Amino acid sequence: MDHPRLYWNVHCTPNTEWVRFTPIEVPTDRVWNSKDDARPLSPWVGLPGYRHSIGMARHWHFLSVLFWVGNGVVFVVLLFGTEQWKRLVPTSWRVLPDAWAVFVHYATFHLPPEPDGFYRYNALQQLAYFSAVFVLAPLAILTGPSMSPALTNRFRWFPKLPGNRQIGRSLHFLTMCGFLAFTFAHVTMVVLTGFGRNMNHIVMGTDDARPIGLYLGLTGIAVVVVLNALANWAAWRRPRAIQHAAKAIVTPVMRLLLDSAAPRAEFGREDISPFFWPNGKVPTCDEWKALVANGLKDYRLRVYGLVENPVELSLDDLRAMAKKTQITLHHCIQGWSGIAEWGGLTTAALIELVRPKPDARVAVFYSFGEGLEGGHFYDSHTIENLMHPQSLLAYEMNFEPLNEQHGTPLRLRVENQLGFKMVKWIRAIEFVESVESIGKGEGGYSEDNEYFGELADI
Amino acid sequence: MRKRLVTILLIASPFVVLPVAAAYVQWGAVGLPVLPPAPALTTEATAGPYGFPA
Repeated sequence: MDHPRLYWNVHCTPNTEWVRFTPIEVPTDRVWNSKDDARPLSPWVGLPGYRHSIGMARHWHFLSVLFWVGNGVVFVVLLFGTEQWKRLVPTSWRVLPDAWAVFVHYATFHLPPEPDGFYRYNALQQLAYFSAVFVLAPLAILTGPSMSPALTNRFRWFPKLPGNRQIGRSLHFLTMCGFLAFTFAHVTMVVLTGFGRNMNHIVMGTDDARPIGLYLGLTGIAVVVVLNALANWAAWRRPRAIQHAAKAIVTPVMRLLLDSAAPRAEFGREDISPFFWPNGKVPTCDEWKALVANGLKDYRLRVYGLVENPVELSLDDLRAMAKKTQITLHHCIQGWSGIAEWGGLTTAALIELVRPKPDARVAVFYSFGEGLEGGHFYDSHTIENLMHPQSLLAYEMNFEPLNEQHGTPLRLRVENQLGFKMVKWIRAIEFVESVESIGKGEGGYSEDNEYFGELADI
Repeated sequence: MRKRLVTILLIASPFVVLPVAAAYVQWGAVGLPVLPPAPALTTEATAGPYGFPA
């Protein structure tokens, strides 16, 4: 669990969560960043589980989501194409008192005589199935994208909605709880009310007492269990292969649906979060410490690579360029969010200054900071994405110079991406044709070492 | 989930605890409710048999 707290407010200020899955109170006498706050999760529950494995978990999540949504579309089309919807969709309010009557029998352990579920569901069954298909599933589909920075930061009306990213995240979690509760009740009743016959209904589509449905159904469940074990094995033993599979299957969908639109949403000054989770390791190198100790007077941003006009810019040079400010919603891959004001120069202005050569495709941002496993942190963005008006090299946060925790002297803001793509403590920028020769070739430190996806639109 | 356990119970109670409690109250007070009669199975009302092998 990378951010084991759920909120109804977008600011994620510690102690405002409605539930937390950690015994830890955020300490107030020292810096406690959001990675410190991550908790281990048993691999019996999570895929792959343990601690800070969110990169791999997201790959499995999105791969499964594509299958799940596709499967759901086929199901709904067949449901309405074959009139089977009449079994699932209540057509009279009478279903409510009838369902309550059935519930009273179940709750007090008086199993009612069942109508043969092959031909007709009882009122409670009908309501439960209807809710799973037409309430829980749409809710899961709608609340998932509500956590996408590319989607929510695209629309200027989004900040005016009463909902926010954390409401979406909380509802997404509660929807999962709803599915779990449904599955538990459903499986229990299938077993209790005639397991063999019910399995024939489910698996074979026949209404008889032969054991074939039971055997095939249990075999199917065993296959799912084995596949889950294999998925766990692959997540730990072949993580790069899983990352590349997701890159081949999920990334094109994400690029098609989310990546091309420029973010535009802005918030008001009154919306700025009172607390903004720090994240990442503050640089420990002597070079950065000396720069900070000297008031950043000697800082030079080196911009080089496939550019017509390589430059070295001091902070004064950067401040002398046209300044843009914006108040935007930050989305961390771990789940937390926050609203802050950012001031700096647009990356579009920098690109205009250095003039990338025609073969330059990507800008790589190198940090003074280290990654979790040592080595300098970096990440990359396409030049197209850096041309969006809300892509900034920020030297100001909440009307103050960037502080040490949040990236002094310079950090990136690319508002259609998750936070890990927004490099802090920027040392240099290199324009390249491809990221294949940089680091381990995946596009960033987190992508190289934590198997994050290269696109972070959601 | 330690500090906010009360919150979770408050949220869960309308969906889980209260209905079960109400079911017992109804059973204790007026007995089990009458179940809606299952309609007779007619050719038009049935969905099957279908699937394989029939």
